[in-house]
Amino acid sequence: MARPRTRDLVTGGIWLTAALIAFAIIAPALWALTASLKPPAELLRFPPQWLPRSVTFHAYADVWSLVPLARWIENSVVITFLGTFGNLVSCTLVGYGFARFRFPYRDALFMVVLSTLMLPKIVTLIPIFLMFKRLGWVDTFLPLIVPQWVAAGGESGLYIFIARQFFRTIPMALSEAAHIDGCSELMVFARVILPLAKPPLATVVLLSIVWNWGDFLTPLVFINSQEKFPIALGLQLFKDDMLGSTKLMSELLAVTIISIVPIVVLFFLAERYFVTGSITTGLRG
Amino acid sequence: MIFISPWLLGFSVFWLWPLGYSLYLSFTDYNLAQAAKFVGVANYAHMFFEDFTFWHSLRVTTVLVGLYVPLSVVGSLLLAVLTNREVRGMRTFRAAYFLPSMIPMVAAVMLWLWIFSPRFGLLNFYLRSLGLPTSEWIASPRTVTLSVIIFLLWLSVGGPRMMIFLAGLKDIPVELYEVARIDGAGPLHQFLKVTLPLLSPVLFLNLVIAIIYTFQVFVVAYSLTQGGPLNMTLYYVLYLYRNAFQFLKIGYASAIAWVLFLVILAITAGQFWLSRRWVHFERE
Repeated sequence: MARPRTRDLVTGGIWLTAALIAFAIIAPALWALTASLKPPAELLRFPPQWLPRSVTFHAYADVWSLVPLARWIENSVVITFLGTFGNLVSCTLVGYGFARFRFPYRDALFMVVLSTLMLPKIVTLIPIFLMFKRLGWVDTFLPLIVPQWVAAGGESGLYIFIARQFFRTIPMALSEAAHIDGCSELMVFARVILPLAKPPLATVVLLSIVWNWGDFLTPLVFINSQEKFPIALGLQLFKDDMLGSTKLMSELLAVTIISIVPIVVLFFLAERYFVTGSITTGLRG
Repeated sequence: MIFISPWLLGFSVFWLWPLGYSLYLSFTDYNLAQAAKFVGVANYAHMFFEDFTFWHSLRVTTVLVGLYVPLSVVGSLLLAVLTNREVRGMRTFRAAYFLPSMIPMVAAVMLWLWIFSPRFGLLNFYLRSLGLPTSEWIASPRTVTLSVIIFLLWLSVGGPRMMIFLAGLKDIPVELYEVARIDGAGPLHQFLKVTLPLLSPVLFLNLVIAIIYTFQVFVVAYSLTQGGPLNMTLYYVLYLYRNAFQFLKIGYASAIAWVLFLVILAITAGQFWLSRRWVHFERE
């Protein structure tokens, strides 16, 4: 039994450790933020200064004409919106099917859903590439979006799981009552069940936004033209074009910050959904 | 049944068919220009007996998995134990730990480019001011693996894996700790005898997922180190990507992909088999 004073000391120690780790983890982003606000001369100065002496937004003003940044952001928004919408529709339907109906091999099929999260996606990438090439869809957004409409893109298996876990908690009596009132299956789903399902749907939407916004490999394989790049590819292109020079460093950091900000804002607005998403499932890396 | 039809369609088109087709392709010679030519097991023979780069990439990937996964899983577990204490501000700290795993990975790479820079980097600056030896980090074949591990730890140690551990910790009944304390168990003893056994299913899950995902590491190798220096970060999927989409050896790349598939399957199956010895699954 610790005396009050030692207990305070332990609590203080825990707080200090946790705070130091938090600082260490946030530091790289903070550094990039302040560095992007420095004038070029100050950026390379030693010792490095955490706070800029004079704040300038020139990097944020210049990048728009240096690279098609507005276009990249627009592309990312379009892909993210359409992909997420597809996942939302398909994965809730599928999750509902797995949660509320009995059919042959249901549990075995559901195990298959979960195993797709574990299988290395890269194995399927070459045939999918050949298929989209034959369809003439390479260098369009379709290869990024269409799989998400049939619950087979990004982390669809995870979203099906989240939806199913939630739908299983809703009493069957609710559906039965609606049936007696003359509702069809689809009407029960749309009118009775969906309005109750806002929290899991929000989780699915948020996780899917984060995934689409940050995805790198899929657009790398399917998109060739620079004006069709999403922001993640654009960032890489900008870095490659600098060829290791530090001349446009503030600009590169500015684009980096711009690509991060939407996710950070989203995260702080809806932190609990992200956390429940990763816990209820335990299926993310 | 009608409700799951989107998934049945998606699974057939984007999983089942590609898996089968890539198995077929792995027995062919195909470069997109000419029709695929059946060559039997030639791709596999070349991979196993002639292609030293293949073995090299498998080796560096295995080394990364062997070093990074234990560090990262133990790190997440310790962080979860730390943040499980309800101290003021802990929610904010947890959010800070979680954040790197949410941002686009390429953006994370850009943040670290400058930290790792041997000349201008923050890391070397602080090492120097503490009187410690500096390092070439990602510029030297000797330290690049360490740099990648540091980067990946930063990225994911406080992410979903930590949250899963945290949820597991909260599920352990408080009474068990009280009983242990009455029996005279100290904090370390409580951790080893109560926490770890009850957490073992969660630990197992996290371990399996971490190994699967680390075998597929790609963006950091593509963007931060470009496979170098001296191919020290030519990880498996990067080598596969180059064969498929840069050298256009579609057949050969499919064989490489299938070997990865089988390696991951074998390791995961092996872990499930071993798990019977150390994981305490709850009996229903």
